[in-house]
Amino acid sequence: MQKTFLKTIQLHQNIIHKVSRMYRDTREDQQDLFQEIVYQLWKSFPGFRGDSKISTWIYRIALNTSMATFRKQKTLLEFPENIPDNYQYTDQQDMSENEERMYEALRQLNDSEKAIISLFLEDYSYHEIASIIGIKENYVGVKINRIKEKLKLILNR
Amino acid sequence: MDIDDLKSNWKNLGNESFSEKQLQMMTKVNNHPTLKKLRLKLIIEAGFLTTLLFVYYDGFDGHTKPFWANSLLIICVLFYITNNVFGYFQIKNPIQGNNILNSVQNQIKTIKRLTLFSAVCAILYAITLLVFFSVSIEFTPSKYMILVGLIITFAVMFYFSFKRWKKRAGHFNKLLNEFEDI
Repeated sequence: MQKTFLKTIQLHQNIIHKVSRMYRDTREDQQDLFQEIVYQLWKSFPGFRGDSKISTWIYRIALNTSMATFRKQKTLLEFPENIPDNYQYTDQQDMSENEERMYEALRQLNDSEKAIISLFLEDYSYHEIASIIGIKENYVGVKINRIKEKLKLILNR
Repeated sequence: MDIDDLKSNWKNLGNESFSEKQLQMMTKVNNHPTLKKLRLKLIIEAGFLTTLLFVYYDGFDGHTKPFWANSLLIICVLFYITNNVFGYFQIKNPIQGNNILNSVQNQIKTIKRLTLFSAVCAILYAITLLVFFSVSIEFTPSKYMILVGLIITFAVMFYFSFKRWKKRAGHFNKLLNEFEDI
């Protein structure tokens, strides 16, 4: 079973990377969260019966873990008024400007907004988002419109 | 950058890659960033309290105390250890529902129960210590010092435990409000 699990996670690990970077600010915290998500996925794997797509299941566990395992802020984080045009990543990774601008913008949303918008950006339908989050389908539309407006403001600052 | 750019960018993100071996390491509690430390703390505290139970009989004249006073002290220590074990499992199992909202609601219920249990443990502990040490004992200055030291140590431990649970409850209540706010 572990072999199947590892192959599955390796194929879909981009989801975990994206969620970890959206919910945590520092490289160290992102790696810790990545590890926590993999651990939770492994624990939940025997209960996965294939009722949903594997990527949907990974998203649900990853978002749930990210919100449930919050971190104490080591230093006071103040978000800049403007998204930096040229952000230097601590690990000297070769990251595109757009990529970091995007994460910076997403990190300014609250935890529930991050969950909803990540599923929307991944092209999940309102029905699927409603089922992963556990809210009514028509609420999803309202919330997504609100988050889009908020993101527009953040990105145009 | 607009929403459409965000959408197309999002799909191309997350290209860093861990090997199967690295992922396998992540499935073990021993490599878990938080649980490993928590488990160690749990073992150290349980070890310390069990040692205390063995030592107290001679050190604090346990053999001169009534049976009920000794029993009360043992129950109190066991309650404290149980409280810690419940807390560990709560942190170990953050997925508590078949959707995110359901999981958050269940987390709140669990945390409420644990906060209450924590408070009961603290009260029980305070009563037990006072009763145990005031029953048939000849107080010497050093015994007073030890008693005060123990009360302060455990009061501080329970205070921080209670504060931690309150903070966790606050976090999940905030999440619930965010999801339900339409």
